[in-house]
Amino acid sequence: MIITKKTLNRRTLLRGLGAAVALPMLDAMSPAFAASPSGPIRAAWFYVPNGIDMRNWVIPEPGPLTSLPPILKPLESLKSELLVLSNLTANWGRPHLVGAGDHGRALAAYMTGSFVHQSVSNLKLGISADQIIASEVGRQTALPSLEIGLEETRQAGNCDNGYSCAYAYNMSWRTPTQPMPPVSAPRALFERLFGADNFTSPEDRARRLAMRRSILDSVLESTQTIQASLGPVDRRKLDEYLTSVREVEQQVARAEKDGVVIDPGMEKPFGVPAEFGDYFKLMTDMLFVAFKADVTRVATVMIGREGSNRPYPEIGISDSHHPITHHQKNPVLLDKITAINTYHAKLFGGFLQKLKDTPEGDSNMLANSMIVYGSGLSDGDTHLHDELPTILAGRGGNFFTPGRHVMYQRETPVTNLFATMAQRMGVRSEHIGDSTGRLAELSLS
Amino acid sequence: MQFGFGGPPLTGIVYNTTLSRPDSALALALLYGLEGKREARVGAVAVSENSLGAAAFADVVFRFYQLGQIPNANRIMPVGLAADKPLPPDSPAVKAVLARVNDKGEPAYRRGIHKVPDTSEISAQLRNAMAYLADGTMVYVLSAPATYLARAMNYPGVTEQIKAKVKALVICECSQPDVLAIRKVLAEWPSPIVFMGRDTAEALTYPGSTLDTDFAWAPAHPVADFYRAARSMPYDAPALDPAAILYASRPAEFQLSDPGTLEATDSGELRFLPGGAGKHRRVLLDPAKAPALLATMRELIAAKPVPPPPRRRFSPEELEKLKKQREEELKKREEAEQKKATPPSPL
Amino acid sequence: MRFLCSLVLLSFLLLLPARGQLAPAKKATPVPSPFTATVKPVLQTNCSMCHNAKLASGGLSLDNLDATTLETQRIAWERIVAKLKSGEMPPKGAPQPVPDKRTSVVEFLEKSFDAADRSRPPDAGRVLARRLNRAEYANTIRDVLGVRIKAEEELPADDSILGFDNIGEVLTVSPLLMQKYVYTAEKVASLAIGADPLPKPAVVEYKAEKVRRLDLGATEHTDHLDYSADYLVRVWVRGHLGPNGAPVSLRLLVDGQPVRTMDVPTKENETATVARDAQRSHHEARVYLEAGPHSFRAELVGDEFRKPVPPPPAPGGNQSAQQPLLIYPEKFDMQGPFPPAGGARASRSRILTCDPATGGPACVRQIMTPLARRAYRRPVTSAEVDKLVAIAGKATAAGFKPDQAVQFAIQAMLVQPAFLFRIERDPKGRMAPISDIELASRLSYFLWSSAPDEELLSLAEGNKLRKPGVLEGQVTRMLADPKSIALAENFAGQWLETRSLAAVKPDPVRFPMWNAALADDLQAETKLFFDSLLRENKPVSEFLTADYTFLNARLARHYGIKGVTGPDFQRIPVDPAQRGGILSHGSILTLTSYPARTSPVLRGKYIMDVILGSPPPPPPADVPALDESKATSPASLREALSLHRSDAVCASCHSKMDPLGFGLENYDPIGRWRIADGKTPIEAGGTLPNGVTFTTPAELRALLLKDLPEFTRNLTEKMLTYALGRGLERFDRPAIRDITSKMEKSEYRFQVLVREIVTSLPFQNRRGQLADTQATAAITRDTK
Repeated sequence: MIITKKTLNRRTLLRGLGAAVALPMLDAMSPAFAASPSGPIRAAWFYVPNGIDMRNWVIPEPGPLTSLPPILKPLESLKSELLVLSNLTANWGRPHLVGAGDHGRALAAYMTGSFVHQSVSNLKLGISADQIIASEVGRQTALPSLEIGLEETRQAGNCDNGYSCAYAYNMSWRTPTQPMPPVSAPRALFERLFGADNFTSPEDRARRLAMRRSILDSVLESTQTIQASLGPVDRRKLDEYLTSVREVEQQVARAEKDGVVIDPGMEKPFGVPAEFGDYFKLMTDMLFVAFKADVTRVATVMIGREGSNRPYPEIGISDSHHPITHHQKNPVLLDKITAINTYHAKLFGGFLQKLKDTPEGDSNMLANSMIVYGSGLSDGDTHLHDELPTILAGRGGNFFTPGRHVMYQRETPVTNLFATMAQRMGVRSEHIGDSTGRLAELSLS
Repeated sequence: MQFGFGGPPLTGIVYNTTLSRPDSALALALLYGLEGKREARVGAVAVSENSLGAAAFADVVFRFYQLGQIPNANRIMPVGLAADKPLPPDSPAVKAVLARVNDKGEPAYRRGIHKVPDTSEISAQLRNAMAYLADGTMVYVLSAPATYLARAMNYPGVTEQIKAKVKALVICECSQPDVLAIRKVLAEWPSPIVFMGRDTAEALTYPGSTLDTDFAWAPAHPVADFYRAARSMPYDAPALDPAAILYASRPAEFQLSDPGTLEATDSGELRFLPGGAGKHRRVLLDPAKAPALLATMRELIAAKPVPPPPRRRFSPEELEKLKKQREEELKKREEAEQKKATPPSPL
Repeated sequence: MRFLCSLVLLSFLLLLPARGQLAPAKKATPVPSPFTATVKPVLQTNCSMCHNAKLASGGLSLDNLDATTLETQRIAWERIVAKLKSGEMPPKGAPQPVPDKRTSVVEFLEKSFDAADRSRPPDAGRVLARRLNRAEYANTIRDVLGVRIKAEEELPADDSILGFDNIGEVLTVSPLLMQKYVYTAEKVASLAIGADPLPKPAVVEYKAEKVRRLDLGATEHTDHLDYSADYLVRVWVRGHLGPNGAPVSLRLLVDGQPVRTMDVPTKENETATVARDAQRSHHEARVYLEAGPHSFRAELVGDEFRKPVPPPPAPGGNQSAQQPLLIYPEKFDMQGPFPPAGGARASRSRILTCDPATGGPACVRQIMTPLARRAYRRPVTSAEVDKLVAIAGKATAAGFKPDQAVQFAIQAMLVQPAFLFRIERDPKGRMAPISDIELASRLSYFLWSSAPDEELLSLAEGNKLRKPGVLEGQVTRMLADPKSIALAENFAGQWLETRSLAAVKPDPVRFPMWNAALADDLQAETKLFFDSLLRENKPVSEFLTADYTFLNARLARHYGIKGVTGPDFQRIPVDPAQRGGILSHGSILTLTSYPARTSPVLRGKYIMDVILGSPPPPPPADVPALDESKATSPASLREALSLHRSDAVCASCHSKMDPLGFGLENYDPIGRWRIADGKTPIEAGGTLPNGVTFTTPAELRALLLKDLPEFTRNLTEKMLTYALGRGLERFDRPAIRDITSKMEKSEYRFQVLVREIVTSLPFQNRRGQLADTQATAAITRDTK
């Protein structure tokens, strides 16, 4: 048996060579950089479940950010990069004539600005902001969009008062009926970004990619023949499948075209870290690489599914999240909520810092990004869907003027913020869900 | 309602006003009067062409009628205010109400609006209000420039929503400086439009002299204060907006003209042209009925705030019974515990 | 009467399926007049003092109601019937209707529902084209190719709806999933044939700081391998036991399984000591490992090594002086991958019925034709096979080896819609029986979560499935087959929600004994229990009452039950005073608790929703959930919850939910029996809305047994939903009633339920194109 004396890097041993999603080298990204002189503009959404302890979030007066409220303290050093936005509303999250099921609606209504069809047997929503953007700018990158969910396990049974679990588990909706399920396993995310391949040589890579493409071609053919003989509903099902096949095929084609392979700079992870903090960091580190290498420009990160019951023992919270958010103004519970909210903010800050510390073109990655941090609920106890806690981090390519707190009139749809971001990404569509226009005062220039 | 066989749901009224005339203050009182009688539901109140104080006043009136807890924005939206233009100063009437203090020197009225962000963005509100109300139950009362209503009509899906939800749009006879907007509304509004003309309002003129008697029950009443401070008392006010709101909730009390066409002149005046292939109608009032209707109106305007229907709790006796039962259970269990000195061994 | 004749009609349909669409659509029967005589008076005297337009308690107003609402407000009426039946309404303290009046009202209403339902033309509904969910995917791969994969490793979780993840509506294909399918198919194909060359072997080190010290003598690390191959695992042992240390044995475990035990010399080695160099020795074992995650553990055998790890030596301090005679496995390294010593895989030889190297395309066709037939679960056209052969051709042209080429053909097969989707064709008429082929798949995915096997498939191809006795025989055979454990895993796991156990995280401080192994045991208990009820065709009542369960030593210890040994699960009788039926399974009791304490509300809701299938309606929008967690002791919890029952709005549901939950207070948040929580003795009892009082879990079980018909209806609806892969509609009601009444007539035997579902109208038939318009109208009406 051969025993090589020299110890090799484990990636070359256990993972073979290279990635299927070829990542163009950073300095050779001229087409990708077309979007802006200094670097591509990116949009991301971080969603926190079950609302916020608004006692420790609200800033009473508009104006420059001076001292931050307790929950935002961990972001102190990033103050100059933040816009805190008050009074935005997700109208379709409200009970209106339907009644309970606020957790079933909150996330879905927040991202789509659409009425959430209360049903456990069929889905009807709208297209989420990130997908509207991805459908226009997605073609420029290997992955049109990236969906990450930090709640690895799914519960059996129904979710909230007759609303399908799909509404609470999926942030991104490509069509009113098709959610884009998030990746929650670190390994799956790695493979989504960098491929799961074990190529033995560049030649091997080339011919395997070619095979993969012809396989996908044959699938496209046979699907079309099958579809011909189907009823309308089934045809729709197969359409979804067809679109996905095409998208994967485009990825492969792209990978064949630009053969450059970059090293993700990390080992392929597996399993889910026991501590939420490590989990968050691991997943957002990969998101960071994906942004840095321009694998995608649009991402959603679901910090927890709406109604999440995750306990946080590492910060001394052993109760489930959701029950304690029904605090009934009990200070003991409120403080626990604040602890969780602050913990999330701290982790989010870590990701922002990483972007800020990474120079890009004439500025840094954060300056080229628009990163929303917020929830579809303000008070989780009474399930309020207005005065939503909202942060916009980054300058969207030196476009926004952060470091301020802006208060809008009540009832201003949160989708107005998303519409403004979409416009900044060069998306033509006028409206996103129930948006009534674009947000003023984000930029002073 | 989760399910049931209840009668037709209440009419929801969305009232867009300039709050520039005393009758519009009366209209607010009338709205909450009707709500207290469970004849209508206030969908939204939106103030345009007026000051922050005017919005604050509308909110004060809302709170005045709201006995007990102030419901959150899931239940009722804050007052809308058109704030996309520089705001005018507060009118004397508004000032009077907001400045009034009780004998302890505290503000006489609960106030929820202090700065523009405390109000609702008006077009979004006019749109969002529809989501609260059941299909075919809604009436828009427009006694202000159509600017923001027209804007709301531009939002995606709104036309369909209006078709489904809105019974009628009542347009009061007041000047429409934004001619383009009013013409858009008149041309494109997808549900019936009726016109409430000044003449009908004249027939329902509100006798200012009765204010003191009608509101005698209230040591301090924001609407009365507003009315008194609006002009030099005593004076009578043609109840234009109240008439419109009364029509919204009790259409049977009025008649409708034959179809005609409501149009806006270049100077922004509204004109109702009878006949032709018009799709609008004018609200008419049988003079014989006027006095009775005016009386009803006065009564509703001066109606006292009604506490929200209490959730039925068990009677004290029933509670007593429950308590007793439980105590007996406990006693039983204690005895049982004492009986078996040793706890049952697990297998 | 009409009930009977429609039964006849149903069996007629099944015997002569072809005539299905000829079944005469019966005329709508007018709702019998006694409505005003029977129903109205009772409701008016006993209900409308709260349920009127003004109060509208519970959102229900009974003003201006008449017989027509039976049709238009069906859902409301069914809630009313349920409440009247259970005696929840009218509530205690309110005037009650005379018993026989109550029953006559209920009977009348139920009769008229049934009449109304049966008066409609029969409709079998339509099942969407369904993507295989990940369990079905893995099982199908296993049965078609003989390759086992960990689905949860390879594929993302499927969305679930109606409580199940096999419902067509939400089984979408995202780009993420499609990418996964391509990778997985590639991996599966290569696992099946094993034709891909392995990369050059090399060494990887797991340094001391990368491995986990479990105790004084055990070290563990985990990693994920990308190749199924042989590896040489090497353990480095550090230290010595002094000049005359006796040898100890070192055990190497992979994924918890011992693979090798070897002797380790422990005598102090002079040279090392002189060189002031840490003394080390290494020991190795060659093992075959499948691609995927693995754990490696090296442990010194003997109790003296089971002590906790001593604190690290103070900096600068002399190690040997501080910790004399210390020896422990320090680190690992691993070499590989090497070609498996075992030689060719079984799957390879089964699949390669000829040698593609010599046989060429003809051979590839010979290989792929039977595979595709099994994978697509139907006869395949030569055109379909051509596609796959062509792929193999491309591969050879690209310079791949012949057997690699076959791998590509297999990969192509596994991403075809024909494999990934279960597609049924819409028949022409209003409704018609599905083809035998389609029936075979419905059957096998219902009972096995997998593709039909050879026997079932060839019966279907010969259109023999519906010959007398055949279907019956197949169901019997399939239930007897080990593969039918899928029902326990996929149906029961979701119906009883035990799948969620992985997500539950009890408070590590209060319950340090909780760990993954225990969670698995708890899940296994419920799974095996369900499986035994089904295989042994027990009455479904045993779900509630069985005086036995399945335990292994670890779980028995957890429950405090003595006399169970070994890691294997055994059927163990339990003390009826403490346990019995699934409501005493730790799995369910943990699911329905908060991390630090029990929740009577969650447990009560579970019983109403999951067990009895009458979920409490959602709380009114403006009533925030009552805060249980404020309560610090069980006593104060009772106080807090008693508020529920003093407020009529809450009481309407909680007066049932809460007592039911309190009935399980004798079980702690991880399912252990308790008679006190801290100092406070447990009060495991309460009074149900209908006034019945109970004081122990046993009494509660006895009470629930009275609801056996409700339980059965619920189980039937859940299982029918799962079997059909679609939500149930109003037109399914007659089928459900027929099944439940069959159950009653046959002692509620579990297998009767399965058989009745398989022979039911919705399972056997499919709505035709013609019916679309009427049907959609009906559905929208029902979902109103």
